[in-house]
Amino acid sequence: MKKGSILTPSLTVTPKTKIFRTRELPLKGEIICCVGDKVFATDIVGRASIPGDLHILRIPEKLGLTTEEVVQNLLVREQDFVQAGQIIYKYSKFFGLFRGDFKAPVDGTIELINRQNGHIGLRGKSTEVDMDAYVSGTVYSINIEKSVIIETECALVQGIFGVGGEKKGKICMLKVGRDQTVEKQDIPHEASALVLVGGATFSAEALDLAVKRGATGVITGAIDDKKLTNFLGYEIGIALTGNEDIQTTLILTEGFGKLTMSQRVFDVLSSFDGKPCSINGATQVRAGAVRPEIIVTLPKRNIHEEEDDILRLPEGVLDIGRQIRIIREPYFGRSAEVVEMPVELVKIETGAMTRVLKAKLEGGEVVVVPRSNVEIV
Amino acid sequence: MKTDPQTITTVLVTDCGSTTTKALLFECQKGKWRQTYRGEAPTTVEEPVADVTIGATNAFREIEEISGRKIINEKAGKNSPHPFIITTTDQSEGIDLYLSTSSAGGGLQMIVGGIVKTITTESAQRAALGAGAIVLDCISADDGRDEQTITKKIRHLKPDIMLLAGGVDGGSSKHVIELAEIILAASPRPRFGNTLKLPLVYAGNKEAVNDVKDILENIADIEVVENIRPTLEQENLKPAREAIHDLFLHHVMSHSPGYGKLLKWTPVPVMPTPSAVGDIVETYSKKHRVQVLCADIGGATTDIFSVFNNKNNEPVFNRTVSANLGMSYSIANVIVEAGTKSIARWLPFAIEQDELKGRLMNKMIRPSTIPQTKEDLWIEQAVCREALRLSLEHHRSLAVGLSGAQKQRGISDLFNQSSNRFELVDMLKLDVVIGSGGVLSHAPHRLESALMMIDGFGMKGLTQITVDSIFMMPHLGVFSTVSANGASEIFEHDCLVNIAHAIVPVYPTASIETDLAEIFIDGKSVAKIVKDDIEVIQVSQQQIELKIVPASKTINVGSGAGVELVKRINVGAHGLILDGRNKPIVHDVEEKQAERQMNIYKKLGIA
Repeated sequence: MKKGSILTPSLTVTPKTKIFRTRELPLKGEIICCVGDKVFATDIVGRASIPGDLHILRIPEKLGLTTEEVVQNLLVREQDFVQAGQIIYKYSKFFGLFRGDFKAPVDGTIELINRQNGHIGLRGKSTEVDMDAYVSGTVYSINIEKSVIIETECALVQGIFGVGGEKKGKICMLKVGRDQTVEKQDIPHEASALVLVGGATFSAEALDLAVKRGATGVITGAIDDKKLTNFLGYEIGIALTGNEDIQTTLILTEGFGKLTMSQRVFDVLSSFDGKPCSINGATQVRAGAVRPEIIVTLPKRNIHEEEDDILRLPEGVLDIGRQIRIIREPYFGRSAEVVEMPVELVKIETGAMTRVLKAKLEGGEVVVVPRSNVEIV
Repeated sequence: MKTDPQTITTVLVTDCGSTTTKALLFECQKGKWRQTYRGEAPTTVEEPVADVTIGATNAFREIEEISGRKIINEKAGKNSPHPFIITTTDQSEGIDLYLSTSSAGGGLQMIVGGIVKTITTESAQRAALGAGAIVLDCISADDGRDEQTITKKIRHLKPDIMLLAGGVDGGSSKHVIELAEIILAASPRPRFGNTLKLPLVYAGNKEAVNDVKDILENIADIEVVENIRPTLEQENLKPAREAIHDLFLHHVMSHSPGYGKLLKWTPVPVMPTPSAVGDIVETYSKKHRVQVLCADIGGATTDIFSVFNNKNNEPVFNRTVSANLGMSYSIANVIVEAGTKSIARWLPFAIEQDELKGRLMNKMIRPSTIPQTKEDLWIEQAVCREALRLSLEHHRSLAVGLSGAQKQRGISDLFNQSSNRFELVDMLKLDVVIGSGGVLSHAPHRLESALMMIDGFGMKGLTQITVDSIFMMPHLGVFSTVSANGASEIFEHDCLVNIAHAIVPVYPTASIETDLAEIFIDGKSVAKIVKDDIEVIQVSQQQIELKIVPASKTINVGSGAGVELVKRINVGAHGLILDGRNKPIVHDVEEKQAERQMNIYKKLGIA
């Protein structure tokens, strides 16, 4: 019997840790905070001006004229600002018998005039984009005109899968057991700006109601594919999410189906019931994996008082006595304790030779499971 | 380092993948090239390490530990050109040459553009795919989308490189200039290096070069190459492919974490992984004069490579990648594209559709898990069949030849021209199929791999079925650029596992014969292929003369309807698979499917 090797990195679930979140502008812009500033999650820390769309105006083709006719009689020059509806080209032929004009479709600036084909590039007005801090904390560093790193001491819970982007709200623990289904009646009447947490799954009606009542987030153990499809309006085929245009971010802590929310996740989130949090459902399951997250910034004084007591879970190393969850059939979702770690390869039911462990299930039964099919809880 | 194939005897090769960096040692022992040792380590292009050479070095160390051979020069300083011990008179340590391929960071991602979807855009797509790229989107003047939609799509996708084609030489420049304007409107930024201009290969009408440059020079680094379609009847992919490789090395890879260092370690250009696989497939096909189909089914994508002869009997290489058909990261997408019923039809047991989808969704979010039960294994193998089927469909649509003379018409007529295409893939003429990727290479039983490919590809006629033993084709592809013979030797000796030959007659659905064909080995009758049945015949000899005699004039065993086929073959580990199921397989009503599949599995000894 021997200590095991590194497995799939386990998800972080901790009541106290220190993390950094990079906030990056989509284009070069202005960073409006300083290193050391204390910021709230909703504070604006950067701003960028996104250029408008470039509209290619193909006037010769539209009016049935030659390139020369258009280029020679344009009423605008490059860099001119024009307003929507402003005439930018006017023509008159055969002593005024045929006449017409071309108006700018949007407000903007004439960016280019192509003298080869008479096409005009009209750049629409730019729009200002604000970037918030996402998490409450301290500005750790700044990359001028580009990005900010926010440092925060917080509770961090990573989920296994999520949909929907960054949201903020207050944690609201539902009065439902972590192995139960959250039903319609469990959803509070006033759920606006709440992150609802609880249960092994949500019924379709409960999920629907949570959205209707304005919840910014739903955190639960699992959900089946049908409910997810109904929730999103389309089927998910690839584990690459976060850009869904939805009002409520959904985070699953355990997987698909109906799976009891782990005790640790439940305990950590329960201890912050009513506290503001930042959540993000973005998931990317491949190299550089991104998992959904729930972040609750801790009051500064608590951290200082208990700095030496920051709880860090050992990551990814199996050992006899470790509590695990089996994440593949035939014991999918079962909790167990590692009781033996054979070194040699073992032939499993499929015929494959692989490294296994022996695990004692909650009922006492000892089963053999491939090491790649368990995760530490 | 040495690059002369006559003087090298020890070559270290890595493939830096998205998740794992795999290092292999190739050695020439007693005049024969062999793959001797293997090491692997997690790829380290992501934060916090963000240096690909760390993962590569870890893989080298594993080889050192296993082989006992010193490879890394611990005294090499920061200014050393590479970290290796170079072999001198003492052959027991060091290497002669280091080579690498790479698909880290998601590989080479491109957008291609052309005027007509089935002419220049398709040629541009073939050039990009042949260069090893994942094609994120194809834009063409006739693709039905409005300009704003295309503009937003290009901006959102952030390609590494763009390829713009369009217009025959001397034809109208109007449409390709409009495409350039759309690209200008989108002003895409490259994925890596936010301050850099986007690399763009222009391979269109030469008359439009200056206009395209004028329009795009402020937003793109433009590389002009010969027209990809100088005339409607000609396709000229090579210059565009070479330019893509060059830009990949100098613009994309050199800005990826740690690659600046890795590129200096090797005197031979680092190749995109799929491009290297394509090279070894092409080399093998050329050497043996065989028509080949190769599938590499990974976690996120399925690559298909083929070499089929065109109407002039010249071999034509093609590669396609189905970006969202894979066995882990995109496994649930196979269900979305194929449907649960299509997957369930291959299962030897009944399962609720929701249960099936749920299991695959859980595999998607925990991709490193492996099937423990036979049921779970069969589900993954059923998904593999559908991924192969869909990927081959995609491949067929792009692997086309050009034939016949087209009358030169006005540019506006171009949108209606597609009649000079013909499909190259002909399963009856296929000689060898190669399976690669975990689900095929590491199936617990080799016959399972064979059956997945027979079913997924809908194989017909006589075909040799092989798998890549440990996914070393990328390594061999880049090695073939230095020593084609050395790479071929290793490919055939250590890489290809010859599983069996499949014999699959094709016959009219109304055919009444029960026995479809008779099999003779070295002149002696050994078996008959029975309609709707499948059987494995073990053969003790290593080489045989195989004769297949169809039972009637309507049955085709690969030489034409009613014509017998005689071929000398190297027998695989499992002999001959006699498959009497007509292709495409017509499945039973749902209630009987599972029973029928179970019977097949039992007959093959894999239930």
